Amino acid sequence: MEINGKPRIVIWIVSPDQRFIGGAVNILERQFNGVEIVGVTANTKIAAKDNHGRAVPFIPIQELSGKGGGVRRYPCCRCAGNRYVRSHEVCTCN
Amino acid sequence: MSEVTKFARAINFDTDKLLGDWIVCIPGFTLQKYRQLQRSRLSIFSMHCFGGLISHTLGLPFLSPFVNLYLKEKDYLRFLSNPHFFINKKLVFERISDDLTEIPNNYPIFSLGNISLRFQHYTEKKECIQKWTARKQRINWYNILAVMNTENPDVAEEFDNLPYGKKICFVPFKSNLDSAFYINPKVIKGNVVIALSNVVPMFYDIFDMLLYGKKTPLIEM
Repeated sequence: MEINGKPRIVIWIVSPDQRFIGGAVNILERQFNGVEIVGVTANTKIAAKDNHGRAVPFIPIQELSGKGGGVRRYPCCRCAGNRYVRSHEVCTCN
Repeated sequence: MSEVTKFARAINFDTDKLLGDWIVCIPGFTLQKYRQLQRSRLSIFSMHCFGGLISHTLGLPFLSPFVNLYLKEKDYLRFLSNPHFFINKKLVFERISDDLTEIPNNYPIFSLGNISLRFQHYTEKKECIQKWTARKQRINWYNILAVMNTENPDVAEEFDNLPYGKKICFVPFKSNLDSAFYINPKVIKGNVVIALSNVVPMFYDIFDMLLYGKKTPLIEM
């Protein structure tokens, strides 16, 4: 199957178990030379945490599925800048 | 169908675009192979729950009646030697298992011709018949993978001689048979079926295994 350009990914959190999401994104980034994360969502109020222990904003997937996408952001814990981060390597404050 | 998939369909979300994060982390994963596996409509004939467990792990539908039940080795080999004959036989209730060494026990045992099916994860006879009947309709006879495990080299050889394009027999000894996949017995702890479903994807490329019946070792055992 061919994907033109970087695959666009919406992370749909369906349980508090987040053991695999970081690894999965890394693997897809390696295999496709990068991915574009266009959103993070959940369909119930899952108490999901990001890598820094902060709660992921709850956005119902029904809202997200009707839209064209857009990057959800939350502050890097170092610089408190308004950038999407999974790790400090992503934020330009590093 | 998982709750996530049901919900996605209910809101008209294209379920072909769903991908479990744990699936991506399985060694050997590539999106191309995984999508190929999804589209292939694989039916796994298995002598126990390994087929169902692997299907569940990979988010594949159960296109086989061999889910939540098991057969003894001889019965399974007999089934594999003439699957169409046995699939068309009527399921007949035999008895309730009284083997107290098994967990769980007190499960229904049915006859299918001259083989016995042990519905170990069911209690109601009616449910066994319903599930068996519904799932056997889903068999894709054009894409079958036969799976078993044995400690007996003669059984492994008999299995290897069966006319299946894709067949896998997990064995605790090194073997030159094409269908024999060696699993070091030291890594099998506790329930053999659950242990196999956990360790096999770490030692062999599970996508090559299910797509092609191919033996692609990932690490030395």
